[in-house]
Amino acid sequence: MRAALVLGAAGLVTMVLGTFLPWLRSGEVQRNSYASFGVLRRLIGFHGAAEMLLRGWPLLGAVCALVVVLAVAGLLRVAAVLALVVAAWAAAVAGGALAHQPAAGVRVESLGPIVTITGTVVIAAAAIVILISRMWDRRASRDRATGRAV
Amino acid sequence: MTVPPDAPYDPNAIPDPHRRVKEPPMPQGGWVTVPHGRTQSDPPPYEAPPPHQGPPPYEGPPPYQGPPPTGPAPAPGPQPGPPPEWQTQPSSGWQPPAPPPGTWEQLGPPLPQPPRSRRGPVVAAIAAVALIAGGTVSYIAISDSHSGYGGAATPREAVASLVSDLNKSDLLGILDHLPPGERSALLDPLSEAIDQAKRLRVLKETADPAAVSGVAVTATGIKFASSGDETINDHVKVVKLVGGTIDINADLSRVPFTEQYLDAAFPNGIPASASSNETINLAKVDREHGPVRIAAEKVGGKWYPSLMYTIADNMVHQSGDVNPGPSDYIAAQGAPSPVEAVKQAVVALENSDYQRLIELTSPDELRVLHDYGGVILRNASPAATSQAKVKDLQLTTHPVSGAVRVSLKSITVTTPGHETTVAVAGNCLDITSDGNYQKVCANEIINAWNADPQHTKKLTGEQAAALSRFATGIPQIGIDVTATDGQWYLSAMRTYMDLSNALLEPLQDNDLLVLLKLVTR
Repeated sequence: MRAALVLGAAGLVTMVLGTFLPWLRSGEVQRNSYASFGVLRRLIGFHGAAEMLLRGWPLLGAVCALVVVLAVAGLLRVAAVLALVVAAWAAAVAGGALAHQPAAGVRVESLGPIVTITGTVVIAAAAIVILISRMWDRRASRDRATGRAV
Repeated sequence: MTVPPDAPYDPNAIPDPHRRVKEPPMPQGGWVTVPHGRTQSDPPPYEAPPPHQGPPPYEGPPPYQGPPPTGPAPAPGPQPGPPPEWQTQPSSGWQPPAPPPGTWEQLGPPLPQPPRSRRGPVVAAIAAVALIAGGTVSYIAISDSHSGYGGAATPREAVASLVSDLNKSDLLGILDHLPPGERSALLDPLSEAIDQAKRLRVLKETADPAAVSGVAVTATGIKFASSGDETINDHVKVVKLVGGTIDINADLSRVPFTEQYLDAAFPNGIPASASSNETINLAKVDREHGPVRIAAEKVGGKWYPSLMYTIADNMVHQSGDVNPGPSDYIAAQGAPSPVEAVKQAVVALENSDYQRLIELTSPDELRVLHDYGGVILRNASPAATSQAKVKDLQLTTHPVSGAVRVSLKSITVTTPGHETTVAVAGNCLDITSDGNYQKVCANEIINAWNADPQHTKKLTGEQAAALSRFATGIPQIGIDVTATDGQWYLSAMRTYMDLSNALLEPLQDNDLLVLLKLVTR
């Protein structure tokens, strides 16, 4: 369990770090995910699913902090579920960016999205391990309570 | 409880039934009655010891850790031997004697030490660190997301910032410098046009986009005029460049066109003139023609280099005209609906009423037309009187990116002795001229082409299909109209940029390349 927690924390750090690495290149200028989405929002705007995913993107770090607080407060299952949601969110954004074709002097830099996706994979793995572990613990407790051999 | 006021207190006196206490004589007035509680210095009232359930709460000496009792466990109940000396009294004046070591025996299970967990502080520390880190990350992220140009404090700073982004070939940064109205009008259609070009195999999907424009501009040693900026009005100033160089390197071969497009557009190869390298010496330009003028527009208290104002200002100065004054301003006056805006524009065109046309143009996108309205009207050539009159005009609307496109449904035009009605019917046109009806569809144009003896090469099936699809885009052409403060205005720039998009929209796969080959063969 402790290893999963450490792994999850490392995944969160990696994911957040990835969002600050280069995501977009325009000429000689590289931008991280926040600056990229900011300028693209001003220039062309986002619509539909992209708008939904990117509306709260700058708050990713705060949500990750919430995951950590929930975990240290002992609410491991809630933290794991929230971590899975955050990982899915970041993976969708990073994957969407990587899938985007270059246009008009602007291209996606793969470093930022790939590091972010790596972080999300680690988070997801840790969260799943924690959830399964908690589920087993709960089942074992129930078995003990009902007198069955574990 | 009644006690003598100053009786010596002996906590062991009462529990010891063998000890007799000599009572003092009763004072005059009797004993003092203490109604409630005790004074701080008083010993606690004696309460009979509870049934023995373990060691008394004595905390003086450490629990006895000596050899375990070897005999049988003592029976519960009062212990033999000397009475226990109960807990330390709170009195400051009386201290119980320390119990002799070894006289106190630990009975029952050992006292559990109260758990002194360090988890709480650690959890709080980690949570605090996580919250601070998360807040910091979000703060930086939000700052970064607003880190674009966002206007400058002065026109010169705006132009200098644009030059900086030019030198870095930062297309996003350059576009971010445009005033918001121009930016929106240019970029929505431009973005759509690039998507169309890729869909129709004109631009490579995986091309190196750093050179997609094919033009690299580098500015070095830019010097501004010492005379300061020229004020046009309260929201437009002109920055003058009098020194430095601008290198413009244009190379069509660097544009990531597909091979198919290059074959279709340039069957004999890209001409040598398609690439050029020019260096503009701004000091020389200043000596010969005056300074290079770049206009900046103030929007929301910030200055932006303006493409439209720069064009207008340079046109005025090249024509020898003077800057517009307050009397040249033509206020925007829109229409209540998109259709009405276009109808009023048609009527204004019919009557050569250019002032009304300017009034109907979007103040967000083309504020410059309103500011330069008087100058435009003074320089407008009087239109030739037309005998054609629009008798009836029916329009249809559909939404496009950021605007409403108004397209033709039917129009009836009269000239002396004649009347012609053209109605859009699906992909065909119903034309009625002086009572004669004719339906014109793409197939009929194709058949007419193939039947023309001058066209030695007949259209192939692929070409006919592409031409047919191209024809379906013609009814989609229209005028883009945008709303400002509840009024509808013509969006001229957007309409122009959207024209090609409307025509290219119905084309599929390599239709455009097929049509290009048809034109260039």
